[in-house]
Amino acid sequence: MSEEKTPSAMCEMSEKLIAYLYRELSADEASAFEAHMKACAQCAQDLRDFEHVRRALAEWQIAPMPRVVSEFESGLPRPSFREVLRQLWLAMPAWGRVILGGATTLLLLALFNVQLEWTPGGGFRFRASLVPPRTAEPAPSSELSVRERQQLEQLIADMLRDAEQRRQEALATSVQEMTERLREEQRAALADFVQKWNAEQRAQWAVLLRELERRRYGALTFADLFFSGQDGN
Amino acid sequence: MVLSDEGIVERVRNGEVEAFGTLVGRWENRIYRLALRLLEHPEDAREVTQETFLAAFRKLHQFRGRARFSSWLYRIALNCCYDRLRERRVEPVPLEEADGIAVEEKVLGQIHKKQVAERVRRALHALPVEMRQVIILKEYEGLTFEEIAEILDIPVSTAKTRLYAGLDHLRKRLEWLKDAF
Repeated sequence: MSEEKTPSAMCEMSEKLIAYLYRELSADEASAFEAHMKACAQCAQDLRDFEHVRRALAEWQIAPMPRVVSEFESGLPRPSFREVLRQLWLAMPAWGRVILGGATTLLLLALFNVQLEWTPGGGFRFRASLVPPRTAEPAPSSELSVRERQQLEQLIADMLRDAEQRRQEALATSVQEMTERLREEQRAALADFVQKWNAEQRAQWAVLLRELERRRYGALTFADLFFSGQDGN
Repeated sequence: MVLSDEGIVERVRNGEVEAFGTLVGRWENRIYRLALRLLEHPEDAREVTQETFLAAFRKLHQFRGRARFSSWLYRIALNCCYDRLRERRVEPVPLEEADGIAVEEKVLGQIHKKQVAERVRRALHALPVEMRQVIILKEYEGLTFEEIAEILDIPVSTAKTRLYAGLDHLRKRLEWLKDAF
């Protein structure tokens, strides 16, 4: 290829060359320039080189612009939902795509209940399931508010008081029952004693009366009646 | 019957604002491709495309119809691109880097289309912007030299000269691709 040319080194037909290259010469002008090229090696070489450059330039093609909905396009057919999503994705900056991709990944991980556990002995363990794993009942929070703590203390106090009351009532009932039983036993024992004592007294009186009857009708003295049995003789 | 751009502009000016959507749908891809080739950042290109249509809508009352609507729209788009380039203060790619062709690729002939496109992009990026814009408008947008001259507000001969100079730069930078086609 030839070196870059200064204006003075350019052929005076360079403008014609450019117009010929892009087919902007009339038929007569084109014929005249072709005749010129047969005598001008520089123009012939330029034409070959520039055609080669044009083929190279044609390799740089650009995709149509992602359509951006504007206020002027209200009268145009509405794009499909899928097309809108595609355009949003194309119009989104790189950081936006990263965030959206991360959010989508987290959503998928949540949908498939993916769990990654690490244990000191077993290392990392990966689990995924369509069924959510069973979880233990959540532990009650150790952080209680003052109001909750007061309510809890009041509840416990009420429970203790009720329990003590029930215990006292049971004890009183038991003591009362025991007292009644003892009283009945004492009453029965007393009645038995009185009955026995009465029977014994009646027997002694009967003996005494018989002795008085015998002495009244025998020759017994009063001393015999009262002291005869005391010396044991 | 397909309404011309200029006819749609007239309807918008007469209060049929929603008709501007037709112009957007008709030209947005071309404006986007132009912006992307100049800015080389898809997000910037999208923003510039929107800025272009918003600016066009605001300035529609200034459109006199002396030029084609497309030329007028391209001019707005290029101005938006230049503003964006100034904001970014894009440094041109050094020639050595733009020419930094992996010799192994050339020798082994393992050049893929994607690699070729990347080399072309870098070679274009290394060009002065006045050459680059003419090449893009001509090669990729398919505009005539008269249209390019109208958009850039330069003589037709200047447009051709800039294109020649740009192609001359590119043939050296893309010489290694000669055997690939």
